[in-house]
Order: sequence, then structure tokens, then C-alpha cells
Amino acid sequence: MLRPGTDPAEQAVASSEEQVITTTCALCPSGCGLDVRVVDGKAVKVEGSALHPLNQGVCCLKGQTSLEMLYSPERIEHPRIQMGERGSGDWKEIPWDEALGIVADKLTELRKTGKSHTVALMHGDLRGQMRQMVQRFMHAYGSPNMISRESLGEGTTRLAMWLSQGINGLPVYDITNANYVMTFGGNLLESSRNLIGYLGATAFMRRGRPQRGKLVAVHPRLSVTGVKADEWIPIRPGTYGALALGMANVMINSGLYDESFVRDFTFGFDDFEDADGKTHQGFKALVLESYTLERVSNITGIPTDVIARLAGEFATNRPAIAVLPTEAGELSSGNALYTALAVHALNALVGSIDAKGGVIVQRFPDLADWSAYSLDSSARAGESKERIDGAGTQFPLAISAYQNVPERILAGKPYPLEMLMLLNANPLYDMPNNGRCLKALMKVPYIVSFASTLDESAAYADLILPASTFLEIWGDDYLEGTGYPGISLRRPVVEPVHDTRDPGDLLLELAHRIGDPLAKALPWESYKDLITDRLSTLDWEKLETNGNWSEMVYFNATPGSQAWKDVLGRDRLNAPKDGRFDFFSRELFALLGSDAAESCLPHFEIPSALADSTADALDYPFLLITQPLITQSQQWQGIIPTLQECYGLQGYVKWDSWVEVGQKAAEALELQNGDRVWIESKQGRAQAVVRVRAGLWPNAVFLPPGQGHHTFVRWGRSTEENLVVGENPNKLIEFSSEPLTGLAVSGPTRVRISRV
Amino acid sequence: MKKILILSGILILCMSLWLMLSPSTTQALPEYASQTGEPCSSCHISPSGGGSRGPRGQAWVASDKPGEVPDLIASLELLGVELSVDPAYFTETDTDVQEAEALDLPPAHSQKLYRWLSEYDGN
Repeated sequence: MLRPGTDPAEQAVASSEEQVITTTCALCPSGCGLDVRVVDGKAVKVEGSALHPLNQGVCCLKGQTSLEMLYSPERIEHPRIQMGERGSGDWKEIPWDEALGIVADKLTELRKTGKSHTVALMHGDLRGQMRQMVQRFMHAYGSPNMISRESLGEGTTRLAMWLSQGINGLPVYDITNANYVMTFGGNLLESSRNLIGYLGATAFMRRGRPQRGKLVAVHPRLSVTGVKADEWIPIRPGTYGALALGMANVMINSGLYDESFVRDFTFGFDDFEDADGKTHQGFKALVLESYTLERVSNITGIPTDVIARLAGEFATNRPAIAVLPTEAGELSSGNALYTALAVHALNALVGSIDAKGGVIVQRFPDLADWSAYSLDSSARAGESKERIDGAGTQFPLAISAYQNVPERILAGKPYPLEMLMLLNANPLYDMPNNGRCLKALMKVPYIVSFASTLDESAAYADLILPASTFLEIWGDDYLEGTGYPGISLRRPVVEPVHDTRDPGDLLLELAHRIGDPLAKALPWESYKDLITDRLSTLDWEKLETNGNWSEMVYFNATPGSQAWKDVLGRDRLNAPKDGRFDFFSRELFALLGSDAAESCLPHFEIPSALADSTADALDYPFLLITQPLITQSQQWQGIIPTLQECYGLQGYVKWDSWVEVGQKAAEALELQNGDRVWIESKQGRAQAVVRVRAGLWPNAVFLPPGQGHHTFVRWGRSTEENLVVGENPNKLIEFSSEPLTGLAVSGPTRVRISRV
Repeated sequence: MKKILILSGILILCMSLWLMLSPSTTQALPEYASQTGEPCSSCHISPSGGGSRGPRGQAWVASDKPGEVPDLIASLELLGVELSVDPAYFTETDTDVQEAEALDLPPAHSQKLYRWLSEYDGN
């Protein structure tokens, strides 16, 4: 167990010597191990931890910049309260005790008056134990409104995994042992979860062993992944699902799929009768009838011979993997769920489910049980109310519908929101929706932000409880991406640079101030106590020495073995846990009923922006696409000069946004590299420098994500405040939600380009 | 100046000799791969070799680098790891395949779906 006084940061200061402290990065979802060199209490260098299973000594560009984040002059140094109007910037710094008192009093008052459900917490990344801790906080307080940002991104993949494979988790890809890897969207080798692990695995697959595997990247844009791949397949934006179904058509037609696996371990491949004797169409008939090569080629713009070849290669070079993206916006074309189901169905067709070199299931360590607690009548009444984002009501299948919160606030539905807390979330940047998000925030009587820099949303908060950075706090990450269970420890490498605190500690203190049942649900004095308690089942010595603990062994479950049901069907709620992969989703059937059986199969729906009948097609001839980049900092992270210096490596643009335009489009518009243009949609317009690129779908244009922050851009700029670095592409996009799943619909957006 | 050059030369020579002669405990050596007939990734976490060893690599070194790398189960036994599950749990299969039940609408579940899906380990 960790003992008082063994804080690495305390030791580093006390000894006034050089120390190397191992911790876990939080700058992307991967969670790599970092060795931080600390001299006289100051962190001076960051390297990858050689003993960490994910990154094995490697540290990416983003990790290297974590010290710029730690010592950024943009950081908020003390708790502050808004004295003037929201957004006026008239801040007054206040002591922690007063700040926490204000929040605790407001929360207590709302609970006393039966309004606990009118408090919402919107959050981004929550690592390790933090997710469940926040969940307990909101549950015991009496609010159903813990709203995750995942509906913008990885929620799609998680939902598809659950509806088909019955696993409530993100897939892990055993690329090291695969022979054929095909990515549908995303940017696997630049910005994916477990980026460093997948980079190493891909290099090994292609150059480190006798049989060379093949990587194929499907995307409208030639990304870093596309450049590194053996083959880049340009595709019309928003049509990945059609390509997957077209490939399935070829594989089934040619008898190239894994017949015995499909027969014994899947459901809904062939037509079948239900318990009432009603016949339902199966996946095979649907695909053969509706996704012929010619039709799929027309939809995707990929020639028929290329689709046929890809399908043949995929089916005959097993183990093969069809990779789903988890990055925001990559599948959000209005058909996200069915696209993900179609792509993942390819994995089942070739028997890659939990096979060596296939899609494996992330396992998690057995940790100490959470303490039991019970809700009082007030909390029970509050937490059973309808969710503010519409999850479970407006969107029956939603885990969350982050992008829908502003619209519901504006509509006052299902009830007016009294208080909003923002934790690693910046909705004003994520989905401005032409000012509607701001209007919605202004309608909420009280907003508390845990921002560490003054992001767009924090600027409109009433109170800011500034969070310490990940280099100043205790925490943990589940080790994800290897398949085997593991934990990576996060510990302070320096004392807090400013008067900031760990959000985990803040929530615990609020719980104690508010009292039961919150205090019972969260009895720990500090977040460090919570971590040490929960992780007490693990080998602490190894965890402390290496900075991580893991089992290091992944056993693939043979189909039909006892372990098989742990990787297929384990988390089903209404569908049978019979070890069968659902081409026809029985979970969807249970939810939608027999009248909507056709909606239980993967299928393709044309995004509205691509429909020929769209009158906008003439006025706005281009399709705006985005793709995550490694230089993109988290939306709460502030400006990082080194990342800005590297932002446009592919376009040689620094401290600015650029717009990539295809060659033919550039010729037609008489545009050249370096010209400044307006990119205009119905939602708004943005200005950027033109970069003409061959590697782009003909009528697509690309704007880099992560730029265009409004409120924290002083660092590295010798100009006045509020000068914006680049453009936020989100301001061109109209965010809406899929009716069934509540997943975001955010593109492709129709835009036009004109010279400035 | 001459002295510095000579001293530097000796230093470089010593360092080179030290590097050549001292056995590195975590270096992936191609001769080990030829000796055992296995790729570097059998022993090392990194598929291309080098760096930390996995369980098979650790067991192979612990048993004085024999001609064959012990398989995973033997390695874990050699290292004294107590497996929480029987490996047969993952490998032994029933001879009969479980038939799929006929599709039927289950009774409405009281569990809220967003709550069910929020019970999720992971970052």
C-alpha cells in the first residue's frame, strides 16, 4: 500500500535532487506510461516509459508537450467567480473554501427543494476510477444527468459492439498477428486509441515477420494512415457502410466467408422464422439483393473491380480485421450505427471474433468492490426522472446525446435545467450550432466549470474550480488496447504549480459537505485514498515500481469454449447469451419490436447531404470533412505552442488553419496554394489558407480540427487577447442527433468556397 | 589538445569494448531467434524485439536459455504465476454446438438502457 509521505512529488521537492517519476499520460485516450525527469521540484523532461506495455518507451509528439501544458501561462491559477455578466470576463479570484461552499450550498438547496434532477454534468474523458466515481456522485445526489461526450465519437463503436457481439466495450485489434487490416474512416496511425501500440503492431505486421501483412486505409482523405498504408482507397464521404456491405456481398456470393463459424456461432445470417412463425430476412439475402457491386460502386464511387478485389483479399488473407474508428465525427453521417454494424459484420464473416489476429475483447482487472450505499427518497425521485439529453426517451437506444443538450435546454424539455457542471467538456467549442449552444448556456441559471484553462464554455461559467493537470494528481487508467487486464498508475510528479485541485478531490469534498447519501457513497477523504482502496487487490509493489500492473497474457477464446461466452454475448440485456454473433441484432429486435425487424440488420442509409435531390448541392457543391490529427490538443487543453508549430506538417501551415482542396476543384476555382478563402456553410463561415491536394475525394474539402479557440490564445502570440488561432470547423457544422441512438449527426456538411 | 584527443580515443575504445562484451539482459538478438526457431515477439512485448520481455521470454531466460522457448502455460508455471483460470476454460470446446433459440420478444426489461450501458469498465 502507498504510505503517507511517499508522494513522489513531495519527495522530489524535499530531496532537491533529480528524480525520474513514472506516471500515465492523459493527453489522448491511449494512456501511455511517461517517465518525467524532475529537478528541484520542477518537471524538466518527459520520455516514454520503457516498462509500459502500451508505448514501451515511445513518447509521441503530444506527450512531449505535456510540460507546456503544465507550465502554460494560460492556466487558471485560482478559483474564480464571474462578477459581471456571463462572458464579460469580469472575474474575481476567491478562496477554495468559499468556492466549494457556493457549489455545495446550491446543490444542497436544489436537493432540498426536490430539484436534484435539474443538475446536469457534461463530461469528456474520464479515466480509470473517475468515470464510476462521477457516476456515483450524480446517482447518490439524485440526478440522471451525467452526460458523456462519447455520442460525438466512440459511442457509435461501443453501441455496435454491444448490439452485434453483446460486449459493452470498445474492440481491440490484434494487428500484430493479423494478415490483413482494413480501416474504415478514422486515422489509425495518427490519432486512434492505443496509437503507439497500433503503430508498433502495424510496423511488425508489415516488416517484422516472414509473412508481410497488408494495411488498407479507406477514407476520403489521404491521411498519415493512408500514406503509411499499402493502399489508400478514396471513398465518397459518409458511405463506409455501403462499402462494407458490398464487400460482404462479394464474400458471400463467392463462398469466401467462414461458413462453419457463421453457421455455428452467428445469428441471422440466413432467413429465419421467429417464435410466431413469421419469416424474417437474414443478412445474406439482404446483402445479395440490395448491395450489388454496381449499386455499391455508384454509392461509394469506388470501382466495382476494386471492391471485388478488396473483398477477395480480406476473405482470403485471414486473420483479417475491419477496423472501426472511435474519433469524433468519423462515422457521424446520419447512419453511424448501421455503418458500424456493417463494418463489424465483416469481422464475423471471416471468423475474426476473438481469434488470434482478429478483434479481441479488452479484459479488466478485478478491483476491490465499491462500498454499498442506498438512495434516500429525494435522490431516488430525482435520479429516476427523464434525462435532459433525451437518452432513454427521445432516443431509446442512447447512452448519451451530448449534442442534444443545448436544444433541450432551449426547449425547456423535459424540465428547465438549474445548474450545469462541465468536466473536461467544452460544448461551446464542440457544437456551436450557430449560436444556439451559447443561447442555451445563457439560459441555465448557474454553470460551474472545472476547466484548467479558460476555454470557450468556461468563459461563460459563473464559477470556475480550476483543475490540476494530470502531472499534478493521483489517478489511474485502465490499460486498454492489449486485451489483457491492466492498470496504469497516475501520480503527481510535481506539487500543483498553481492554486488548483484534483477534480476527484473536489467532488469528494462536495459530497462530504452535502452529506448523506452522497457522503456514504463517496466515503474517501481524498481521490488518492479512493485509488489505493480500489486498486488494493493488485500487486502494489509492481504498480509502484513500474507505474503499471498487467497480466501480460491474453488467451483467445476458442469458439464454443466456456470462455467464448465472455467474448460473445456477455453483456446482453434482452438477447440470449448463446455465444452467437448477431448479424440480426436481437437486442434491437427486443427494443423495436417485430414490426421494425428490417431495422435489426446492418444496412446503408444515404446521408441527406449526399442525396441528389438536395437543392443545396448547387449552392454548396463541396462536402466538408474533418479527420483527427495528432497535433490536435484536447478541447480543454489550451494552446500548446509546439503543437501549433507542427500543426500543418502536411500542408506547411503553422498557427493557422488550412483548407485542403482537390486538384480539379482548385483548377475550376482558379485557386492556388497560399490563397486565402472563405469556406461557407449554412451555419457560418471560416477563413483559411488553401492547400491543393491530390489525396482528396474530388468534391471534398478538409479543415483541420482542434483550431479556432477563442479565449486562451495569448501564449506564443505577441498580440492582443481574443485573437483566434485558426478556425473551428465545428462552427460550419449543424449538429443533430440520430433518432434511435442519439448519436451525433455532423456531416458531411455542404460548403462553398470563395476567395477572400 | 593532443592529450584530450588520446584520452577521448581511449574512452571511446573502452566504451565500445564494454558495449560489445557486456551481455544486455533485454536485447533482442537474432541468434536467439535462430536458436529457438521463434520470432523475437515470442519473448519480447514489442513484436520487433528488444525492451521488456513477456512471460515466455522471462521463463526462457530463467531456465538458462534452452533450445526451445517454453509455451505460455509452461512459462507461467515456471515463473510461479498462479493463474486465476484454467487455460482449458479458453480452449476446450463442447462437441455440440448450441442451437439458437427461436426469436421472440422478451418481456419489457425494467433496467434503463443508458444505465445498463453506463455500467462499463474502461477509460
